[in-house]
Amino acid sequence: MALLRSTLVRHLVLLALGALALVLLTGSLSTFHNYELAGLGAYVCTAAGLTVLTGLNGQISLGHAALMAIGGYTVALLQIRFSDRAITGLWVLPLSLLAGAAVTGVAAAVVGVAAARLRGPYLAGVTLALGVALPALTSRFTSVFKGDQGLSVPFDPPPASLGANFAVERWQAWISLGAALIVLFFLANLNRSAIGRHFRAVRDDEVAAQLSGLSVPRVQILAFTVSGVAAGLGGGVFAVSLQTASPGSFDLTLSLALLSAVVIGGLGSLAGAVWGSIIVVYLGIVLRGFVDDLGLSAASAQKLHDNLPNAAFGLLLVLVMLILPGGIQGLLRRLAGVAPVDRLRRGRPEPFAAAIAQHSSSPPPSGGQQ
Amino acid sequence: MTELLEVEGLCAGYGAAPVLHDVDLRLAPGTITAVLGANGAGKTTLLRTLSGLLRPSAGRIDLTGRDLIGLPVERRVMLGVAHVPEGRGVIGELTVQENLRLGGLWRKGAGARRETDAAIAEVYDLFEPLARRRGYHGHQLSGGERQMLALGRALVARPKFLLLDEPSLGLAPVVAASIMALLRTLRDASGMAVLLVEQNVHSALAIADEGVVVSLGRVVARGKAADLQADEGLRHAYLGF
Amino acid sequence: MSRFIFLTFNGLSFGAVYAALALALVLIWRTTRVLNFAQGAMAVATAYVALSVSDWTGSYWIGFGAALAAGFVLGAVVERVAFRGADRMPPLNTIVIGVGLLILIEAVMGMLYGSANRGFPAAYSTRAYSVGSTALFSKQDVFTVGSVLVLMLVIAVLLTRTPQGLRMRAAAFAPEVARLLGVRVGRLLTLGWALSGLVGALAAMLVIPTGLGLFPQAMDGVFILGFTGAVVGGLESPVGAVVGGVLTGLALSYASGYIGSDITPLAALVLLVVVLLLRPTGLFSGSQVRRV
Ligand SMILES: Nc1ncnc2c1ncn2[C@@H]1O[C@H](COP(=O)(O)OP(=O)(O)OP(=O)(O)O)[C@@H](O)[C@H]1O
Ligand SMILES: [Mg+2]
Repeated sequence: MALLRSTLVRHLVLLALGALALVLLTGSLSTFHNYELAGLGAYVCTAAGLTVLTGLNGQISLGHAALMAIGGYTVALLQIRFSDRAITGLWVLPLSLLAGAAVTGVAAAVVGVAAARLRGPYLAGVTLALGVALPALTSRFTSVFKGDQGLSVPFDPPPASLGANFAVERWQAWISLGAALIVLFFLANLNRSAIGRHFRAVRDDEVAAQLSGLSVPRVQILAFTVSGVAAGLGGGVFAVSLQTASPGSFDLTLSLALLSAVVIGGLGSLAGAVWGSIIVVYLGIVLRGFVDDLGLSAASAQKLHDNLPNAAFGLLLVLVMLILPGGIQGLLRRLAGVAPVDRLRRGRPEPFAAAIAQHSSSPPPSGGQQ
Repeated sequence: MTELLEVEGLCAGYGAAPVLHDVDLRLAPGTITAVLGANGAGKTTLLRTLSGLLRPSAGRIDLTGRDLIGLPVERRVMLGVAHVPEGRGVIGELTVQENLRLGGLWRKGAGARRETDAAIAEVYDLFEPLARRRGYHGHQLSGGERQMLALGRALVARPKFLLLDEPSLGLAPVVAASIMALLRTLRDASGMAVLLVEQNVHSALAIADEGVVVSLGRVVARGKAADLQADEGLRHAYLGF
Repeated sequence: MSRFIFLTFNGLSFGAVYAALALALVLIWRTTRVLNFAQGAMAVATAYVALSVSDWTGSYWIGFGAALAAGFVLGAVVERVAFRGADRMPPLNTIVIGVGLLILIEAVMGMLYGSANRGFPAAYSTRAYSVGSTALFSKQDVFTVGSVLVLMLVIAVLLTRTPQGLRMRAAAFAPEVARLLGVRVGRLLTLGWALSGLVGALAAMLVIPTGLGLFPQAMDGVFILGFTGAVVGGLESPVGAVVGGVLTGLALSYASGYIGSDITPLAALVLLVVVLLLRPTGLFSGSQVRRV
């Protein structure tokens, strides 16, 4: 029992259980549902990183799809090279995905350097501009990125050892959800570590964090980098699940859907990011199915089919902020009678968290730093 | 009844934290009442509750027989309440003239503009330095000039009931004294009731007719200003001299 | 040289639009510390109103007027419904509410009118006058700059010369003091949002006909440029917003004219980042320090 109390072990157990559930679940679902699950995995990866950035570190991003695009295009470019040279093997795709995550992490660090000097609406505006500008680059360098049409993402079929009837969609779901589990595992441990406490300390009170010796910009850049790695991996598996990387699949709508997911689920909570992603992905599917069953004329059905899900997310976003700023996770905690730990800031600073975190990891700062 | 303002059983606070407990107050027209008390006693809270910025949890506030409870600030202004807040509240981005005009903008109807202009002219007569700085922005004024502007702006409304929160704070003694003297003149000329919060107990009691001592949100003593000043025990216990 | 002249006029025309949008943002930011990310979507909605009303009445100008009126009403409604109490929220929440409205409004427009790009006629000819071989500006450009100028003058007079404007400024600078002087601050905030909605509507009515077309996301890019203009001007002053908007229009006109039109979003990003990192208080703000 004492073993279970160790966070790492508990998270490892959860990881194994998650993997088991994934294997069982994907085995019992149709190929189409597995295809949807693959998309969900990409959302979860990215939303988990975004909730760390926005919820735990207080930095908003309205352009996370741009970071996903970097991961997706990196994976596409690498996979095309591998495929051209007929290099195959079980390690090829993981290597591309890792590279995609790493490249995105570096790019996010660069964004983070600028972001560390920006606050609130300024950061929101800049990330929004980034989210619009970056996909537009693909039409500037058509020879590399193939413009609006995008790049195809070739990858090896499922290994023969899984059986001849193992569907590609099921394989894609494994890849995507596997990546999501790994991201959740790492971020959950990060949140419990000194770094996670630093993130929260900076979010809650920058001055106090600074006075206790933390470098606020460094913490903020690190948060952006971590979030970028997750988004890069999310973008990579997204490209694999779509089998293509195109500007249209990483547009502003995706950025805003990701924000919807983390806010609806409950900012700052990884479980909330999972809830939110499930809602954003499946509410869309359910609503579209609902519209299709209404038997409307083709034109109105099309209008509703394309827009009803977004209308619902937009409305949910506003309602959650006005009525339930803790999102689903906040609601669950309240129902369970647990005091909210990491809900959206409502004047509940942890002024000493930074100091405690600092003292547990390094000697106190000398002199009166400002 | 002769009272201008009657307060009974007033309780107020911030959120769940109560600050004022069961405060009673009676102000006659044409009098100055000094509110005295240590830092944090609840003086500002009392003024904010009377002017409507803060909603009381219990009690009654009657102005010339009219119940003020539940009326928003703007309505109370129309009924003749003027509150010069702690820190004066001069709007730095607006000019002296604009600050003064703002003091009369609550007036509606035909003669509103004329009455406000007349009141502004009186204020300029009263405070010479302001007249010479009509076009200055609030943030370009000295502390004393700001206090004149804040007081003048309240007077533009020609209030029946004037609440002043530490008007002499940060002013040179001469300037503070002249403002105090002015309050006396105004009281005699206009018949308004003044509720004056002051840290400077001597000068406040010197010009006041009545005095109220507040401690921990309760009125612990009240009486003629002269009597309070003479009461040795009170002076030691609450007024610190 | 002739290209430069054309690009300058072109930049002034677009700059007028960005200036209007920047002004719309600043009017609200100054009073409520909300940066309204739904500003562009609200403006698109008013353009759809113009489309329907014009179809209905057969008159372009009635539609135009209806768009401005719709902007005024929509601004007020948005403030009352979604941003009442914004002053007590963390900045993050108000941003998210704005984004939620952005998604919602664009989706509702899509449900009502479809996602396709609808042509939207300009009030006047968009063919440029030319002198010799040098193209200068079109009638529509003159109308754009002229109508933005007129609206700005009206707003300037309203704010600085009328009692209501004095109340609005007082409510913006010092809400509590304003209340103590009898100003109904809540109502004036609503009025500020309504005005801002109207200014945004004008921007949409001017920019949508010039090559953009009308579709639910039509103003997304324009919003970013208006935001850039507001930031260049320092976000605090209406005059700064206008100058910032015009400068943004010029800078982007030169960039897209000399480098390529697909560079516009990137150029906006670069301009935004450079201004924020080098002059975080904007090019025109006074000495007061701003934490961005
Ligand atoms: N906005 C607020 N929220 C919560 N508590 C408050 C607030 N303002 C004042 N208080 C508390 O109410 C009590 C009375 O404050 P108040 O400002 O009325 O005192 P005061 O008598 O005016 O003091 P001073 O002489 O320092 O101005 C204090 O304990 C103070 O901490
Ligand atoms: Mg006080």
